[in-house]
Amino acid sequence: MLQFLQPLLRAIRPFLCWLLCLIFKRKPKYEPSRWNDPYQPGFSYGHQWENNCYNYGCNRATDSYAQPGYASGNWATVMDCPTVTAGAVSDGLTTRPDGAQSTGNCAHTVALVMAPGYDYHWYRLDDNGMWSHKVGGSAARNTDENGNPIANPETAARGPYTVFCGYFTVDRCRVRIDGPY
Amino acid sequence: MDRIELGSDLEIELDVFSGRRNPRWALSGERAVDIRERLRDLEPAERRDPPGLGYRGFLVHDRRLTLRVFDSLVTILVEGRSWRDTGGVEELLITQAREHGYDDVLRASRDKPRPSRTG
Repeated sequence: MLQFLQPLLRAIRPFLCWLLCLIFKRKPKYEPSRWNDPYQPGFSYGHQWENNCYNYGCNRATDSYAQPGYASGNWATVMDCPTVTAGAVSDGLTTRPDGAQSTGNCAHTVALVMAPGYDYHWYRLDDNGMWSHKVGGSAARNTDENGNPIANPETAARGPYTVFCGYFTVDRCRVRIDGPY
Repeated sequence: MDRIELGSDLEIELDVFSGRRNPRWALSGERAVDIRERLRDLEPAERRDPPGLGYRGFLVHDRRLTLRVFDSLVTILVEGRSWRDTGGVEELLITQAREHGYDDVLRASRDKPRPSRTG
């Protein structure tokens, strides 16, 4: 019975999401316990090491170490701004000109930075107006590499991630992410 | 526990990336024995967490536990107890990472932070 319903649920999921977003405001909250180990029954995902900065930025735990473009068949494997941007856009993220919070009950803003040729990293704008992030499998946090709260990811201390690529909107009803791991 | 007991098959993870999956390699036989020997009789130390972005040392995965080896410290993840890396495990793993072709990754991740720029 449930198997029969699954394709139907998949088909109507965007509509249900849109409907919920008409009623409820669903911006990401800074709740590190939802992402970090140790496991807290009923609250934490308990899968800190299976979700990375892209999962956290998009506020979606896939437990597959999501990679930009992977879910949409355009996996970004070259580590530069244009390639990772193209992968993210292919997953449904949209570029935006500034770091203001995205409009809409279920949309939020994220920022992409790059350690050229080496790796990418994402920051997320939470409902408190400050930015937070999750470094790979490490714990989610709301401070930069100098231990300061992040009011602006462009000027935050970012270690080797020296290039700021730009801002994006994540609309939770449109974005689909996944990873190969 | 005064010593860290590890099994015979280990997986080493170079903890450097945020978005991409970290490089990993397996250790068994004499190389795993060498790591186990180096982790014996270490001196307890105060825990220090690694910085966020960039080089965060190595994760040594055993079936039962995971250790972080970073900045001359060996720490059991989650539990949090730490010891001084008097056996030179981190240096040994850096050598192994270079042997596995991750010299460029190590160098890039250990670079001193430069001023941010837009690109």
